[in-house]
Amino acid sequence: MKQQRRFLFFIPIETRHSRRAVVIGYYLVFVAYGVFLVWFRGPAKYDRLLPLTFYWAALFGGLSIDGPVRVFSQWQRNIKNGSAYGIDPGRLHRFAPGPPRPSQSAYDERDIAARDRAHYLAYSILRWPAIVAALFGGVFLFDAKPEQLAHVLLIASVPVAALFFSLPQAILLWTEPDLDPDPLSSEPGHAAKNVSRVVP
Amino acid sequence: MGNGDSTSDGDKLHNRIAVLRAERGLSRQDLADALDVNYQTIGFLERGDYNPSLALAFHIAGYFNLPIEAVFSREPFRPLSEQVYGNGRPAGEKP
Repeated sequence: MKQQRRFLFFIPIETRHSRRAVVIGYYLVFVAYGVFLVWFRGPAKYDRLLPLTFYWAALFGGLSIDGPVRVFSQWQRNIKNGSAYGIDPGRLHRFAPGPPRPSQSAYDERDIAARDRAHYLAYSILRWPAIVAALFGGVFLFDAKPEQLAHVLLIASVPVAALFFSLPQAILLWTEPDLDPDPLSSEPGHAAKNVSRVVP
Repeated sequence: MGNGDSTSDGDKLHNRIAVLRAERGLSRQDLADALDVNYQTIGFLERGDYNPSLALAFHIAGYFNLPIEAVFSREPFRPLSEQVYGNGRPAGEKP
């Protein structure tokens, strides 16, 4: 299988520097977008922009087929393995009749370990603000009028949901280390092979 | 084994994957394809940043047709040339 270039938002993410730049850019735009929504929240037409926040989160991986692990995304490999639309049939076996099918996930054991660790870290980070927000929000919303309640919940929940969806991906992008160039790789930019190839 | 990227010194598993791969002229991608893992995983294994699961360790050893203790060790490996030809002493030193 040929090594595939990895992109996010059409930006190559082969290096840690570029991956971290994507994370910083993403959250800068996210904050700017939130400020824009709060600043112009009066006219109802801007409330229609709120659902776009979900799409924004989805762009970062939270709601896509490959979930928040697009860093490792090689879903073409699933198609190569014979699964339609790149969906791993092993993930769907619980919904289908017949014996369980072996997983053909594009992720190997290290990818899965990194993915799980990123989710746990994201959960560890977000649980405390979530608890505090729930406590203080409950006190505030106790006296709120119903029309205020809906608006506040909408305003507050969508960005929080987007953050929940995007944070594991951001942690992966931020923490994945770079690899040293492989001197035996024939990829452009690497040293040419100078050792005779012996197939074991 | 299989404890992810954060391998502390006490948990570190040493391996000869890079040497074996170089001997056979295999790129990381070649080996990754043969083992059905992603090429980054081969790099992190070689660098000691990731300890493989027991299944993957046996798979790697089987691919090189070597016993697992020839590929993985809890202690740092001595150079192969020293193990095969030398006695562990610098040249000229008397036993």
